[in-house]
Parts: sequence; structure tokens; C-alpha cells
Amino acid sequence: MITGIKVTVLIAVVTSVMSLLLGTLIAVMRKSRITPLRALGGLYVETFRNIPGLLWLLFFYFVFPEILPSGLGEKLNAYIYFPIVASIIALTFDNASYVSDIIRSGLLAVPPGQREAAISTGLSRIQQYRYVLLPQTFRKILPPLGTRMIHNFKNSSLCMAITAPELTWATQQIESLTFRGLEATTLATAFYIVVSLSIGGVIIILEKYLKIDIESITHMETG
Amino acid sequence: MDFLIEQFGNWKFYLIGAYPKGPLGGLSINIAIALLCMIISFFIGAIFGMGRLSCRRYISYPCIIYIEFVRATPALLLVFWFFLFIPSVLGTNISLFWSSVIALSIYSTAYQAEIVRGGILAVPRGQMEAALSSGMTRFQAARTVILPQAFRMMLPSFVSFFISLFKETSVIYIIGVIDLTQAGVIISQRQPDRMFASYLCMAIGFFVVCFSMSRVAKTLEKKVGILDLSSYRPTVCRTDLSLYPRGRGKSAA
Amino acid sequence: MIKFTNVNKWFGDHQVLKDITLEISRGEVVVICGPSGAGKSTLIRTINKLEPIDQGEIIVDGFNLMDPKTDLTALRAEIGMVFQHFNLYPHRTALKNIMLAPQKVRGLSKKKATERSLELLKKVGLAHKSDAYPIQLSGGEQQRVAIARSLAMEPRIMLFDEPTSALDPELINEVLDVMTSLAREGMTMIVITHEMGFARSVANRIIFMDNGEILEIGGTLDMFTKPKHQRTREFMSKVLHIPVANNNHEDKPEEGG
Ligand SMILES: Nc1ncnc2c1ncn2[C@@H]1O[C@H](COP(=O)(O)OP(=O)(O)O)[C@@H](O)[C@H]1O
Ligand SMILES: [Mg+2]
Repeated sequence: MITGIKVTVLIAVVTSVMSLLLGTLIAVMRKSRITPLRALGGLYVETFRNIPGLLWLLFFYFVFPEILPSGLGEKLNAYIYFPIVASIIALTFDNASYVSDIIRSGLLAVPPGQREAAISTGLSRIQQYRYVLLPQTFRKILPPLGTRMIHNFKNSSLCMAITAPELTWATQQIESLTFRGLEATTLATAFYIVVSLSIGGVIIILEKYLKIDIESITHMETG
Repeated sequence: MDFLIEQFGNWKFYLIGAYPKGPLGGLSINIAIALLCMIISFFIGAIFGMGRLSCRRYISYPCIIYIEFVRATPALLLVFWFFLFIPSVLGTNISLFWSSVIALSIYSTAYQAEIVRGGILAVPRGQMEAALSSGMTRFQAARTVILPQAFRMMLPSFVSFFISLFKETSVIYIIGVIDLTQAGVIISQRQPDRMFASYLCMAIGFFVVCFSMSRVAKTLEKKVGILDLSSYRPTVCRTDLSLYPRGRGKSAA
Repeated sequence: MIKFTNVNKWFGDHQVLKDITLEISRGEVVVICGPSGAGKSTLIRTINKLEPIDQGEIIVDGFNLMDPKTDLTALRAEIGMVFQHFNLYPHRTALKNIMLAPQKVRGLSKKKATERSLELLKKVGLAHKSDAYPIQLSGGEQQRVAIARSLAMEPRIMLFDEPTSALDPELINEVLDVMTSLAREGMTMIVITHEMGFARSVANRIIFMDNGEILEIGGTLDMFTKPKHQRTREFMSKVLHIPVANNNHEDKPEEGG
């Protein structure tokens, strides 16, 4: 049970961070001037968004080793942490597609004047994104991004389908070994609820804190 | 390429499972469950969504708790609850299909409730004021002015939610329902050397449904706009302008 | 310093710049005016290639804008631009708005950049607001910070696109004062504005644009007192709020809101 929690947290944290990075990259790619990059980004998002995460899990666990050159695939199958690794890969790819869509809509919501101001002071494209566009985007998209991360955390439960020893898998293990599954499942449910709600809470606090520098001060009298 | 074509020979199994000889399965069961849950949870969700907007705490708080708790729980765990434990507690036997439907309805009710709430909030306050001042009763105003507008604005969200619910139905594979995923896995186990092809078929099945629905959602979004719940910050609960009759409502934050 | 030769530009079927030929020399202050939609913004945005052109040639400070090999970033670092809606970065304080480009484009150290930015804030009279976020500043203050932000790159040319038209009337002068002192220091400036008081006191030339064309270019006094075109005359009398007679000397125009 404790190991289950550890693995769940590990999967959730690693996939959240990696999907945030990958998602940002894809979102920027989709705004690129270079058509092949844009198309690739679009293709990525459509492919991953329209196919369930569970299928990707199964794919990376069962099919991926098969299509590798034979020796390599067997080595992977023998690797005891392979279920966890496959889970992380699958969930990262899956989540990144949603994250990139969120970031993209955030980027679109930054007024074009910001970009023009950055251009006319001579910032390069990367600098424009790094210092001007992305920081504003992240402040704007914090709520949907938080919701997405909660989803991703909950999705880690799907990894039991490929025997990654995470929390939900642990409860089923307990059920089949000791028939005390009811207690275990209750505990697990409570854990998911507490963590999800805390992520939500943290996002709300973070949002308030970040808003202080930009938005909520609108109401302040200025001179 | 020919191994793919060979896989398409199994199309019937992918689409409807062993039906009519056996139970319905494959892609159609994903669609059936998603649709059924959508319909059930639309009505219950509407109640919870409007309940959450109530100024009376004994109505709104339970709704908030339900919505937030369910949204915080993985769908898979809900499915396990209804598959493993509730039947044994109640001493009844529910089929796999129905336990999936109930669990996923509970799940989607919470999300639909939020969509309904968002739709109602997106209708400008002035609409209620205008309707009331033209002499309508609150019920008339809600029925003829507020809800039709709200419903229009909810439509794209419903469609997008349907897509995510449809994808979520794949979890019932884990409890053994022969849905599209299970069907594909069964076939792939029968012919391990054709694994890739059968996964491709599953993927195509999900993709076609999701992709076409997402186009529908996009078109609707263009027509009616997108709900943005996060931009709404309620300050004071105005009983006199809410959907509900003036009562002992207290102002809530 | 800036040379337009037969420049044409279209947005779809709509020609927004028609055969523009224009030369602006170092240290000159040029005011562009004309009705909305005339193509004024498009014209000055071509100078730092925020808008590409379809035909003709533009040479800015030795850079040929039509040459694909031109280093646009370097060019843009030489040209400051001030926008109607300020376009300050809302997530950075006034000081950090100014520091960003010198640090990242010019590679100044943080200490150097801070020093220079504070100096510029002092110059625009906002040293005490260095830690304020844009939203905490009034429109006039935001625009002054925006000017300081452009100046931080030590540009050789400054472009102003209606810098005061989004401001409340009582805030306009604080911005115009900063611009006036900049002009006195010898900066090459191109200013789109309808503030004719400003034009009168600092501009060397006024350009009147209508319908994508430069209808008339002239010295400040000439444009006020004896515009050649009927359209210019009509426009001038509107922005000056007094009738501009054909060739009469009218010597008391003051700017209206
Ligand atoms: N990005 C654009 N796409 C299409 N048309 C544009 C665009 N920008 C400006 N225009 C058109 O070009 C004309 C000139 O615009 P602009 O240069 O902004 O005029 P001004 O600044 O003098 O008011 C207008 O008719 C405007 O509608
Ligand atoms: Mg303009």
C-alpha cells in the first residue's frame, strides 16, 4: 500500500513535469513559421488526444517491445521497472497533448502588441517566448493547467492495467490476496481525493499569489 | 500492409464483439455506455449544477461536496467500487455492463453539473433583470430566457465532455467488459505476431469517433463560444437575481 | 537615414501603401497625420519590418530591408518603437520592463542594466515607480515607461504610433514633454499624432497621408497655414478646431483634445 502510494506519486510527478516541458515545446512548435514543424505538432496533438490514455499504456507496454529489434525487446520485458517506465512514457505523451493545447490557447490570448513590443526591442524569437510570451501565458492558464494535472494524477491509476505497482494496483492485489480490498480501496479513494483537492487548493493559492502582480491590482487606485 | 488488411477481416469483432451470438461488445459498447451515461448524468448533473448555484447552503454544500469529491476520484476507482463492493454490500448482483454504466454515470454527473453551472453563470445578470422587469415570473424567466441561452452555451462543452467520457469508457476493459480495447487485446493475444496491427485497429476505432466529435465541438464553439468558468468570480450571492425564488437565502461568499 | 523608394503594400486586394517615396535625414522629427485607416501605422511599421512590403525598397540606417540577409534583430535593436496601447509586459515591473532587452539583446550585466534603466526612469520622471507593475501605473506613466524601455536600447530612430491617443487629456502633456525633450536632444523621430501643438513646436516636417498615399509633405508652418490640398485643409481645420483658410496666415492654432 505504501509502496503503491510512492509509485503513484512518482509516476504523477515525473509525468507532470515532463509533459509540461513536452507540451510547451509542442505548443511553440505549433506556432512556428516552419510548416513541417507546425504540421508535426498538429499531428502529435490529434493522435494523442483522440486515442485513450489506456490504449497508449497498453501500446507502450505490450507492443513497443515487440516492434523493437528482438534482443532489445526481450531485455525490456525482463527489466523489472519496465511497467513503471512504460507508464511514465505513455502518460507523459498523453498528458503533453492536452497541456500543449492549453498552452496554445494561452499563447493565443496574449495580445499581439506584446509580441510586437518584444520584437521591436530586438528580442530573438526564443527570447520573446522565454521572457515575454510564456510567462504571461502560464499565469493565464494556471486554472486549466491545474485541472489537467489533477487528471493526470488520477490517470496514474490506469497504470495498473500494465501491472505498474501503483496505488490502485496495490488495492486489487490486497483484494485478491487477503480479501481486505474494501478497506484498501476506501483508503486509496481517500488518498486520491485528498491529493486531488490539495492540488486544486494549491493552484487557487498560487493563482491568487501570481495575480497580485498583474490583475487584481486593477481595482487599486493609482496615481 | 497485408497483415493490416487481414486484421480488418475481424472488423465485426472490433465493432460489435461476438454479437449476435454473444453479448454486444467492441466499439459499440463504448459508444452505448458513453451515450447512456451522458443522458443519465445530464439530468442528474443539471440538478447538482443548479443546486450548487443555490444561495441556500444546505442545498449548495452537498452539491459542492458531491461534485468535488467525484471529480477528485479516478474513474477507474469508481468502476471498482461499483463492480466489487457495492453489489456485495447490497447483496445484489449487477451485470458488468450496468455496474460500468452506474459508475461512469456517477463520474460524469459531476462534470456535467459543472458544465450546467458554467452555462447558467455565462448568461449575463441583466437578462434575469430584464425578464423580471417585463413582468415574467421567476419560473417563466428561467424557462424562457435563462435556460435556453444557457443551454446553447453549454452545447460545445457537452460534446467535448462526451469525447473525454468516451475515452474514459476504455477503463471498463480492466474489469473485463469486452469493449473495443478488450476486443483488440483478445485478438492480439490470439495472434501475438500481429499485435501491432490489432492495436492500430483499436486506435483507428477510437480516433474516428473522437476526431469527428471534436470537429463537431469546434463548429459549435465557433457558433456559440466557449464557457470560461475560471473567469467567473462570484462575490455576493444575489437571491433576488438567482434562478431560485427569494427565500431565507443567506449571502455566501 | 531612412529612405523609402516606390514602396507598395497590399492587404489582400486592398492597397494600403501606394507608391511611397520618402527620405528622412538624421536628427529630423517628422510628424505623420491623416485620417484613420490612411495607412500611417502600416507605414511606420514597415520601418522595423513589423510589416513586410510587397514592392519597392526601404533602406534604414544602411540596412536594406528587402535583403533577406539583413539581420532584423540587429536592425530592430537600433529602432525604438512606442505603441498606442503601451504594450508594457504586465508580468514585469517598470524597471524589469526596461531591463529586459538591454540584458538579453545587448548582453549587459544585471548591474549595468539596472543602472541604466534607473537612469532612464529618472529621465522620464518615474524613478519612484521602478517597482510598480504596469497595472499600478496610470496611462501616462505607462507610456513614459514604454518610452524609457525603447530608449534603453540606445536607438538611433524612434517610432511613435499615436502615443497619446489612448490617454486621458490631462495625461497627454506629461508624455509629450518627454518626447519634446527627446527631440531637443537630436533623436531622429517619426511620430504619428494629431497633437498639433506638439507638431508645431518640435516637428521639422509634417506628412499628410490619406488612402495609402502621401498627399502632402511640408514644413510645419506651411502645412498649418497654406496647405495645398483641399483634403489636407479639411483635415487640418478638424484637428486644429479652427478653419484653415486658403492662404491666410492663421497664427494662433492650439491643439484640441
Ligand atoms: N493586418 C491587417 N490585415 C488587413 N488589413 C489591414 C491590416 N492592418 C491594417 N489593415 C488595413 O490597412 C489600412 C491602413 O491601416 P493603418 O495603417 O492601421 O491605418 P492608420 O494607422 O492610418 O489608421 C486600413 O484600411 C486597415 O483596415
Ligand atoms: Mg494607426
